[in-house]
Amino acid sequence: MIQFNNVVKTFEQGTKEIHVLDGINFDLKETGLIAIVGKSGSGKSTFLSLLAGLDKPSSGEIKVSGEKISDMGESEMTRFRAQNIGIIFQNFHLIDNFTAYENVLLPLEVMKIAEPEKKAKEALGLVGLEDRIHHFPNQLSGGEKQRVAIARAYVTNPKIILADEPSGNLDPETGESVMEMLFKTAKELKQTVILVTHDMELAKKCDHIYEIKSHKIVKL
Amino acid sequence: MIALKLAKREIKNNLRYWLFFALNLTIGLIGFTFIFLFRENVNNALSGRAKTLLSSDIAITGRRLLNDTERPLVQKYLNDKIVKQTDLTELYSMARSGKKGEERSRLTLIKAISGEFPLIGEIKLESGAIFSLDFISKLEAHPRVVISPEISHQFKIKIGDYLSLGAQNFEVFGVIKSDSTSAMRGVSLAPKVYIGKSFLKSTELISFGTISWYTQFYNLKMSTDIDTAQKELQQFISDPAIKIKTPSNSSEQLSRVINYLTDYLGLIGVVALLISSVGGSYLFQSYIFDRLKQIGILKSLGVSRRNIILSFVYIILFFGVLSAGLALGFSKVLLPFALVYLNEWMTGSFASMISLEVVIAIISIGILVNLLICPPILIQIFKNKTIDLLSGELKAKTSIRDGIMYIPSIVFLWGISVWQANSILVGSVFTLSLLFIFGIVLLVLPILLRTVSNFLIGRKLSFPYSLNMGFALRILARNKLSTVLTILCLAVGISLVSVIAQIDKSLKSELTESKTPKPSLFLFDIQEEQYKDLKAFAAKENYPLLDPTPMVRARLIKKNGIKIKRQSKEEGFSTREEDTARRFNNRGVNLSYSAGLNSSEEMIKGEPFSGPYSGEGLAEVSLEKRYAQRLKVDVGDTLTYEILGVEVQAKIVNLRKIKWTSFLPNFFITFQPGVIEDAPKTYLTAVEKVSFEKQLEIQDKIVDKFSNISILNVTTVISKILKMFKAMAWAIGVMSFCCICVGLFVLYSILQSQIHKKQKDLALQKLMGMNERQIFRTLFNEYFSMVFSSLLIGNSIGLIISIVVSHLFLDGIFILNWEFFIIFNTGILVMTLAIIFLSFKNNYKRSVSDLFLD
Repeated sequence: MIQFNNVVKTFEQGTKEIHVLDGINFDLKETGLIAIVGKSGSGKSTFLSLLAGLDKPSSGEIKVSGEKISDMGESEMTRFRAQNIGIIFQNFHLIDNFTAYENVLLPLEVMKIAEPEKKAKEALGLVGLEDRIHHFPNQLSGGEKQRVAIARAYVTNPKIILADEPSGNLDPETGESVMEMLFKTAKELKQTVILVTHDMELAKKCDHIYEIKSHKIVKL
Repeated sequence: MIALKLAKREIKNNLRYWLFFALNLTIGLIGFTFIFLFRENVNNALSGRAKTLLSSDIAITGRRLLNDTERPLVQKYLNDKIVKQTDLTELYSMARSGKKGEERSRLTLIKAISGEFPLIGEIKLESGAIFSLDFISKLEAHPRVVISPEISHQFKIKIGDYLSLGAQNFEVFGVIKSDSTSAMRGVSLAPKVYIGKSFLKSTELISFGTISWYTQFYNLKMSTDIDTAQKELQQFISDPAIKIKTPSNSSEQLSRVINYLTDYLGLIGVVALLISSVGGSYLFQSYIFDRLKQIGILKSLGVSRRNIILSFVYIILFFGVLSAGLALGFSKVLLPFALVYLNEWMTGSFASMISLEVVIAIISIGILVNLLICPPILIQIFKNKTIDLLSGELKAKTSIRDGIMYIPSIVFLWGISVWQANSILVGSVFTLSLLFIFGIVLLVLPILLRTVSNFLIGRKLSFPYSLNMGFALRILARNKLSTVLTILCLAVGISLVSVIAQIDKSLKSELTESKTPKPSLFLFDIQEEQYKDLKAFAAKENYPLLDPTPMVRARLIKKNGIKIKRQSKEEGFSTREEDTARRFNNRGVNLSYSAGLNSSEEMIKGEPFSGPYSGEGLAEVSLEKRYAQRLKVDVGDTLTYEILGVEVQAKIVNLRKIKWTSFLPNFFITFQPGVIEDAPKTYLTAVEKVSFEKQLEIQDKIVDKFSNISILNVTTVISKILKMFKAMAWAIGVMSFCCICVGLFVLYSILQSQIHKKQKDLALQKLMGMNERQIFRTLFNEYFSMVFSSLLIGNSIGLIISIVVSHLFLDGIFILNWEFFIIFNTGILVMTLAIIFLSFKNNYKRSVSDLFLD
């Protein structure tokens, strides 16, 4: 489903060139809950950015569902991502001027999916926010914001959900309940979740674990 | 010391922002500074030329010669002080070309001189000759005239040709090249000619009631204090209609013309300053909100609140000074262009200097504006706990006390408005109007936006119309602060330009395309004995002459039985109202009598005259409403006039509104019949609308038959008024456009401060699958709606103000300027959208990761 062929990603820091990912080869055939672990600065988030098509590799190719996303242009990637990938960020990234309902409604209406209102309400109901749907992000707690982000990520029913440290900004208790929510909905909707985390305890709850170490990715 | 270090580091780390902040204030200050410099330089130039403009150290002038009581007293007082003296008689009269077959007549201002004139200054001829004792003796020895270049051009005459003034034929002796006694160019009723005083009598132009001015000029010994001399002389001459002028009076009189305009321009400058202050306040607030964590960290590290506030105060002081310096620099560069334009209207050269006074004033304003807008935001921030600052959230609620912190800003606005308007009344009304407009927009618009926002909650994003529109509308309605401020800043400038355009069109239409045709010629100085002959002549020649209206010269001496005293200007600041009242009380008046109203009059208060005066009780008088307002009298009050030593007391029975643009003979004061008929008088009348050729024919024939009658060509006067108004409207328009530019800059500033937040939204839009085209459309819809609202609100406010102004000052004449609406609004729309496009063009095309990274 996901293929990284000899992917290199370098960043320039002043005159220095830093290799974050150095010739990664990764062929993910499994579905379900996949955890990518690694120490801070190991390149986990870079890996996820490349996978989401938010960034381009310095060299190598990336394929998702057989499509070579590393060669896609910005608009082609936008379309592909909207149809196939849902993303959950550590710091929620909700549109501040939209209510929870409108934040979830947006991808549905952009993709012209039928019955968007019903689907948005159902998605928010699934994450337990049916009574908070018309609240703005600044009226929600951190956990609630992340639940809105989860509902937004899976509402269009993408094949893959990428989650970058989704509980990183939450207290342990809230983080745990949010992750449970994420895993539960993903299982219900039969979606593959690729979770980037440094929390091994959390990773252990996933079906498969990969580790980024010394600029390479290995299965644990 | 720590505060200074913090300030330095803050500037160093965020130099781009602070320069932007300073530039915002600079743009707001430029208009204000420019008008300040302009006024200062013109006034300095005029006061530097004050003596040459007056042409002596002191002058006594009035519509009559000094009487037998006054003359010896004046002579006795000045006797040992006089170095030189001379006199001048001025009157308007028709001049005729002496050339046979090409005879034509035009109104001129005749200046009859003797001895040495001017006592100070110089009148130079094209031939190179200069007015001197010897030169004027030649004018006195033979009937010779020195003409202005306009006369030479109008009559196509040159030296050696002849020009008739009344009953006397004059040989053209010279053409004026420069005249230091004149300050204005092309705005007088008629061009001037100089003749020797000895030939004034032979013109037969001076008879009873002729509108003429008599001036005695004196040069006094160096040791004489001119101001003391003026005060002493005022004691000998109780008649306030006789003026004792000093050089400062004469330059003030000229400055008044410029100051009337620059005062209003200054007020527009205040608007620009206000808009930029609003923008500055928004910029500062956005900046501080972005730095809450940093402030929290400083506090948690033990830096005191005082030191943090002080560090920002140092910064805003520094950038206040920088803004003022930049504004002074820009204004200095622009000033020479305006002075060149001024030279079309005024003679002489104008230096473009920056005085220390102006520098201090502008720097003080720059600092004060920043000190008034920024600290209230800081104080608001420090109401929050350190923990809240560290989390980047403001939890302290706003209270009435926060609003109180802005009271000094309102007081400052009022103070600066009064200072600029030179009038407590105008300044206060202006401040209240601005606060009203700001208040209404700041109160109504947020409510409207909240209503829209609430209405949209729970609906599909593609409501209304499309996803792009629905998206844009939600952002617009929910970003209340920036939406309201942007609309406000743009709308204020738009409304100003709109007012100018609407009034310009209304005035132009009224003066040139009015439904009621205006007379073509206005006749004055008609003697009593000529009244019947003129009517008969007009009837015989079939001229459409209106019934002549009598005019009696008088002096207001009592108001409700209380004697009116001569008022002198005190030292220091005086408001426009005080100056107007002083001038008003000191001048002579023209009266008329009539049984009823003419076609351009309308009674608005009181009762019509009871009929002809019975001889019992008080006479009845009707006043023009604004005249009554200035005089502070109403129906039922009494006024006492003196007509050639005879006192006439009258009761005000009604107030009238006069349509002055009718150009018919109208008077501020009209008596009932049977009161002042026996007083010596002259007549005024008008010739109804005829073709231009016919005007000239009638003019020539009347002048030929009645050489003393003066004729004003109404068409020419209208074109001069329009030319002057156009110049003023242009100046006001340019300043108002500056306000729009300030508004656009504020919009740009707000956009810049929003870009960071917008980038996140753009990235999310892309993540949700919106393509570049959709994103652009969303941005376009958002800002188009914002600019459209600004135009709608600005034009509506402009229209309301125009209608109010037209009712107050133009007798309700209002004609909608459609052309302006279309061209101006389209222009602003395009310009604004261009700014928005430039702000975002590099953003909506960027990749998601780039947008997130920023």
